[in-house]
Amino acid sequence: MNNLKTLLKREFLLAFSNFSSIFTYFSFFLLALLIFIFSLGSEVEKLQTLHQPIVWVIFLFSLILISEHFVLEDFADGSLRELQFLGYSGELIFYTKSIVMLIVVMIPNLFLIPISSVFFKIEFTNIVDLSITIILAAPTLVLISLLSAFFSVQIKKNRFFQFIIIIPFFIPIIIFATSPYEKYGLFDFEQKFFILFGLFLITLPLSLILGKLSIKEINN
Amino acid sequence: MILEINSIYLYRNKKQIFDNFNLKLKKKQILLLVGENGVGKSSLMDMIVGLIQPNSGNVFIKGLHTNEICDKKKFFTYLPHKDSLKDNLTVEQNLTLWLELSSEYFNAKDLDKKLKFFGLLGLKKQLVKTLSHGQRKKVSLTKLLMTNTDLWLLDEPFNGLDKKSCDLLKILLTKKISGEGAVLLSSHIDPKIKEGKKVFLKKKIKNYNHRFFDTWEKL
Repeated sequence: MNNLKTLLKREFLLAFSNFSSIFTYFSFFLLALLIFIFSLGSEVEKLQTLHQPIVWVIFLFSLILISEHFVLEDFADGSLRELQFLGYSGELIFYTKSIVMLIVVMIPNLFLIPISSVFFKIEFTNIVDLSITIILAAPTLVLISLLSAFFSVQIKKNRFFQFIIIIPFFIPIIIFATSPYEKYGLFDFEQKFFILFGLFLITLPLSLILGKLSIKEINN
Repeated sequence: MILEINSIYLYRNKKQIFDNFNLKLKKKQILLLVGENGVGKSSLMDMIVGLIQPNSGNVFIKGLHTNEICDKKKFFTYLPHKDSLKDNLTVEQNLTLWLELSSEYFNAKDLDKKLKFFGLLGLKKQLVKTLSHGQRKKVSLTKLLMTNTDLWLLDEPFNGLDKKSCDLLKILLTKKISGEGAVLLSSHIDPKIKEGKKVFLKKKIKNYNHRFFDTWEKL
């Protein structure tokens, strides 16, 4: 328990010692939103129908972008190895990093999703569904993207494989999180909640095991 | 015996690094691993601390197999080649963080005393990213002053240090072995430590691939 507390403290200190990761996330999100708005033009109806998929696309890309911050720096300065020889297990390192990354990702989202609704002229009440699905899917997506970042440290030569291996794992979450239930009557909100929670429960142990193996393999 | 390495065989990147390698380190002893780049000095250190596993053979620290040691930080202090310092934290924050991770307890006044040893007190509140290579190395070496472990494992500790700092480090090492401690350090050049016993490592010509290929041809 003490190890968990110490590692969490370390990760928070590093994440908030400079705001570069949060700033990168913020600026990428806003810029991408603006690109979509400028390219689609000023047709409000068109913009409104595309709001949810656009936010999801940007959210996924910014997750992949930010996850590298959490891994590459520790790998480059040798801290990842230091943590291991000090006796911190791979699972614990992976687990604490994902908790802190989740918080670092969700804080900007609290502001960015309402801002996006203003850009797309959507009423505030209509973004509640989008916000909840993002909050529900975020833990699973964070675990997968962090795993992807650890793979990227492993695969130093050809990072194309990183995307081939990891991206298929995003697909089930995207399908269930973005399905427009109110239009097609596919799932009601409760079903969506349980499916996303179930996917998280499947991903958590798998990503912890793979994360541990990946961290261990970095030394070879 | 503080450290004992028995019949180690290690293959890395399809090359044989160690072939039946043995080493013993007693209390009050400094062992200096000398050898050119790529000879396996860092790999040996990594093996001792359990970062990599040998293909066969055993490593014992204070009579315990390294795989049996749960709380490694109580048994040794390892300073690898990379300094593990965080650029966006100050010297003080970096050392405090390391103390917390190593479960060592220290009060702020003592930290000032320790920083004085390598002349780093003035840099206490400075961000590590603004320091020179030598200064970073000294921050990393300051960790040795704050630890109570008997075994120090130092990978290329003299790299980037000026003559004055090299002498200070030698004093520190001598002081360590005057107590109950022991030091294993690696260097690609001879740092000329009077009390140090040298272990020369040579590159193995054997190649794992070739061995396999020979066998295949014979088949």
